[in-house]
Amino acid sequence: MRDLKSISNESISDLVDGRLPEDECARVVRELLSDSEAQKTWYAYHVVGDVLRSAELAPSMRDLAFLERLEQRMADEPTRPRAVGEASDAVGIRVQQSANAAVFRWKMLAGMACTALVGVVGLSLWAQIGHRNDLQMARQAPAVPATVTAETGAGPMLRDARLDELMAAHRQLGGHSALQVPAGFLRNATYEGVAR
Amino acid sequence: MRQLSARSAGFFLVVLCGLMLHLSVRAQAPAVDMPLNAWLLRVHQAARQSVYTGTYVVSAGGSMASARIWHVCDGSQQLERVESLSGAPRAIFRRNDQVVTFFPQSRIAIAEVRESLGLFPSLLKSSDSSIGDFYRLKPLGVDRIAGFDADVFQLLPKDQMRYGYRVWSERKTGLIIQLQTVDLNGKVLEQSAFSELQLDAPVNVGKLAKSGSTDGYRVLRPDLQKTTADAHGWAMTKGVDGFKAMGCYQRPVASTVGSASGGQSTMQWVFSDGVATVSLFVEVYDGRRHVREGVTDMGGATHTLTRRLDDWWITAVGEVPSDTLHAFSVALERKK
Repeated sequence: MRDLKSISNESISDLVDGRLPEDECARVVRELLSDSEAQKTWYAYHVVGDVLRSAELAPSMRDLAFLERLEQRMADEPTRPRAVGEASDAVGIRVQQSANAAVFRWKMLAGMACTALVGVVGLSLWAQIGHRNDLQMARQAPAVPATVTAETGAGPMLRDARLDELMAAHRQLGGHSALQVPAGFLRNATYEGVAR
Repeated sequence: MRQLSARSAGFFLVVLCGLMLHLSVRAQAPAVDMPLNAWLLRVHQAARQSVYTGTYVVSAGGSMASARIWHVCDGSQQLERVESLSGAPRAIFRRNDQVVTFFPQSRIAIAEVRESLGLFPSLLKSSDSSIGDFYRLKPLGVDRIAGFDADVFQLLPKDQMRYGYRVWSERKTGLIIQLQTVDLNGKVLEQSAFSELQLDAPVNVGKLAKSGSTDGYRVLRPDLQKTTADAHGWAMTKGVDGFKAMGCYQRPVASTVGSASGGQSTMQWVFSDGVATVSLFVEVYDGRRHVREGVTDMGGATHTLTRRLDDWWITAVGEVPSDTLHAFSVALERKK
């Protein structure tokens, strides 16, 4: 590549790789901002680096065209926002961007993740509010206590051993059912081992 | 013209009569209920008199258990052996109402008498049975279970205080080969069924009877004493619709193997509507152990409800909706 720029390709490469000392970095950034050819090289080096790391991270040239259009639009704005460098002389400032920030589908994924997070938090808050309402209702009308499920996928959880003993006792004596001998006794004999 | 109009009127009359007859048949069809007690007696007798072996599977509350069953009827005696195929190894041997549970790993056998097992034939024959006041029987058609043709019936509760049941009864014998407990919304809470069944199986009665021997086992006999609620100072202020007191016992509930609860005596008052059963347990309140009041879903159709009543701790257990347990717990009254 023919070197028509005020700064060498090596300096731009070192800037991209973060290998420049602080004072040198400030100088290269100042010169980069005033040299459009150098800016293209700087962008190309970033693309090369991205391609080397992952093809997915390599943006297309449309990004560059978009940047140019954005710059044009910003230049046309009557009140142009101040660039960061204008206030602080851009010394030592390195804007760190995520490696995948330029890929649209990653942004979409991030957006969906945020939406999902908002959904989960919202549901949780709603459930809490609902629970609070339930508690309030329970305080107002203590007719039937709330049900506590002692179930796990592996069968009834031994949450309260005493309850299981009473349940076993109920099954031993509680078979006063017309369906008891045909099916109830077999049912309990088969199933009561869980509680005994 | 007149002839035509008379003919038309006759035609419409015939159509109208046909339509009315059709509507009347449609209206009557769902209302045909089976005689409940006679049906219960049939399935009861079938279970007593049939000779069979099979594999029985119970699924309740997301968990399953299965067991191997041997059943014979030798004259007036019923012998039955149930060997667990899941969970802790155990075998239950039953000779009429005498039940022994064997735990082969700990070499412990629990021997008990289950009076309720002999209760129903006479109750079903007597006019005292009120099962028909609270359930109605509806035939649902035919199905095939474990290779056998079965008549399907629905036992529908007439109020909200009890669950319903769907029963698959083997066509020739009447033996129940599948049973579902169904909640008020029609959801199946638990199911018991033969996954494999051999009717009139060649069971060796002598060998089966020998398997009930407790030789080599330490036999525990739960100290169960008959009592009355009145003698313990308890009464029901208001009965729960359809449920009658079936018996009251005093027992150390911690009769289960390896229990850490000690042998504290507990009153157990048993109620039944003929199909569903509720036990009311009354213990002395202990603030260290009795900490949580409320309903617990024990899986399947079984619920428990705990409640403190002054110096007492009440636990209601039953295969009924939690509202029914609540009705029992608030109706219980201390008399002295």
